[in-house]
Amino acid sequence: MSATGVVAVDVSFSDSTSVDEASSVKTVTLRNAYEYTATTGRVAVLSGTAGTAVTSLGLQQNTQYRDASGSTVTLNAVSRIVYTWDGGGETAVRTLNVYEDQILSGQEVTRLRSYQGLPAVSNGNSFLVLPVLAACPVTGSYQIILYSSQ
Amino acid sequence: MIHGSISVDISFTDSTAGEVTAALKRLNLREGSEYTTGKVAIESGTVGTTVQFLAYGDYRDSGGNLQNLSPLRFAFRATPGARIVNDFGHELSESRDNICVDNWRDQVAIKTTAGTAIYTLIVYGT
Repeated sequence: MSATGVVAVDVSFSDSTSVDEASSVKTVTLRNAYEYTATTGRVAVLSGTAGTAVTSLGLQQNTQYRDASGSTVTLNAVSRIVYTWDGGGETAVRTLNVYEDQILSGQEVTRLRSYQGLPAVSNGNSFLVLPVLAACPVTGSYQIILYSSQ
Repeated sequence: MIHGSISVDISFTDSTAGEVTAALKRLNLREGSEYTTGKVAIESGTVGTTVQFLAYGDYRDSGGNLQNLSPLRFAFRATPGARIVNDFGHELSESRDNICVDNWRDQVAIKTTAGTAIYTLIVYGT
């Protein structure tokens, strides 16, 4: 079993102003592609639809992810998290709370926010994690990708 | 005039090889958003464990005019690592020498959990 891959983010903006014969341009860029090559790597996809209530995605049971051969495996050290949510409109924003060490209180939590399928990408702290969708006024669909180095 | 894009491209391959069999799972997630209106600000510097509020609410555009920006999305990289927090003190996304992207509309601040880090933050908004 081996999961390898790449997470690439490319941000580029130019801000230009022209007045008579003068012009000015500001350019900002931020680019990074990180390749995951650990032979012990594992990757899980959680996707589905969610109602308006707080929704625990249950990966704490560690029985939902099956590798390429169909065997269940545990994601012991999640180091990358990608989250998308689409509840329809631009105001249908939903937060994903990712609890480290699968404990709902007293542990560090990463909060990611998405709407209209715009992805949020974060690093994890190389722990077991528990993803929980916060309450939201509308139903919609979610996708979560978790990469674990072991 | 603003023109820009934020693209995220994720691709993983999960493979298992047996003696005479092989199994493969692949997953991809690709999204690219193009922006032709709005405002963009960049902040960079050094941060420690004390929450450091960012001043992108007042930045100068390409014409040198002072602008106020209401955030919609941000991209962020910190080395060796730091975390974005919002003005309620809630911890948001974290960068550990990789770029993070998030879609918060709050004013955000930055801090490390230990030591110092250098960071670059791009904020897109209206």
